[in-house]
Amino acid sequence: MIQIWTMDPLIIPATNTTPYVNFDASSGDFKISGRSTPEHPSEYYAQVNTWVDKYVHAPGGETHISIYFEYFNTSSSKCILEILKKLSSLRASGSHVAIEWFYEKEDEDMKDAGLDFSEILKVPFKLTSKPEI
Amino acid sequence: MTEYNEFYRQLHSESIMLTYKGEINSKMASAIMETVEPRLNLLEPDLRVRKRLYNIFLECIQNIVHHQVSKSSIMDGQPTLVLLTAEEHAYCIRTGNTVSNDLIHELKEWLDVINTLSPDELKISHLKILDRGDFSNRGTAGLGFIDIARRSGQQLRYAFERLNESYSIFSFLVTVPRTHAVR
Repeated sequence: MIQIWTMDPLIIPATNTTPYVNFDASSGDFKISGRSTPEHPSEYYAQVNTWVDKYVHAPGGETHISIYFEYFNTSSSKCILEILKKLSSLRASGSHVAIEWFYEKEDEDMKDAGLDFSEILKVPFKLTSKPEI
Repeated sequence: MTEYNEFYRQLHSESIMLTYKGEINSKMASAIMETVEPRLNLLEPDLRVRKRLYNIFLECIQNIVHHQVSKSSIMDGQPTLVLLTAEEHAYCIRTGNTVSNDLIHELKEWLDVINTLSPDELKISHLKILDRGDFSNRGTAGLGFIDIARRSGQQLRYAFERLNESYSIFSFLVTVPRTHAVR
């Protein structure tokens, strides 16, 4: 008997202070974009973590993460790193994980933030500049 | 009318982008950021500087929200003050808020350490704290101050003014160069 487990995508609309999230387990495409500047980001990211925890137990063969922040505060950076750590850990079990970090053209600080995460995770990121938002 | 003109000239010459006095709760923090952003978009053509200032200012405001002591909750209470000015070569963020005296030693120590670190050392420290996920030692402000120092490339200036046995005013000042900061 073949058992197929499909997860509903996680889709969260953006707000003034929280990002747009679209995580699709069936395609392996994970998108997060916009702003992450809430004062208590752990409350917002709890729902994302719950979904990601389920995904890492039954991941797809490939996971493509696309990240494009306009701003994020230091409180959010911990939450973002936590999610990236969980998804990156899939590499250890042979799953392909690719992370593309977008930044507004000339926003060197955001580019550096991507490099920081890449350094902590010891995972190469593809860094891509985009026209100004 | 003359008095008003003089007042206007003074404010204009000091290039005040925003001044606020009072408690800053979550709603007020959002309102302050929503006020500053369009002004910044008009005033600063360099995207890098614009975003840098916005990020630093946001960290300053959120540090206050997390750590301020309400004026009404203590004797000798003082309102929180925020001043954002645009000078020719730099933006200047000045804040003042009441803090518990219990925090002073650790806060002073942390800021003094940050001010001794080179850009590379700041980066190492930042990544270490972030990776450890341990904010408990310094609280959310700890990483915030490192982030401010990294982004601005400037010394973090501060002072404590004792109010009473339990509380002091913590004054903080950071400048954000209008040219690309050297890292």
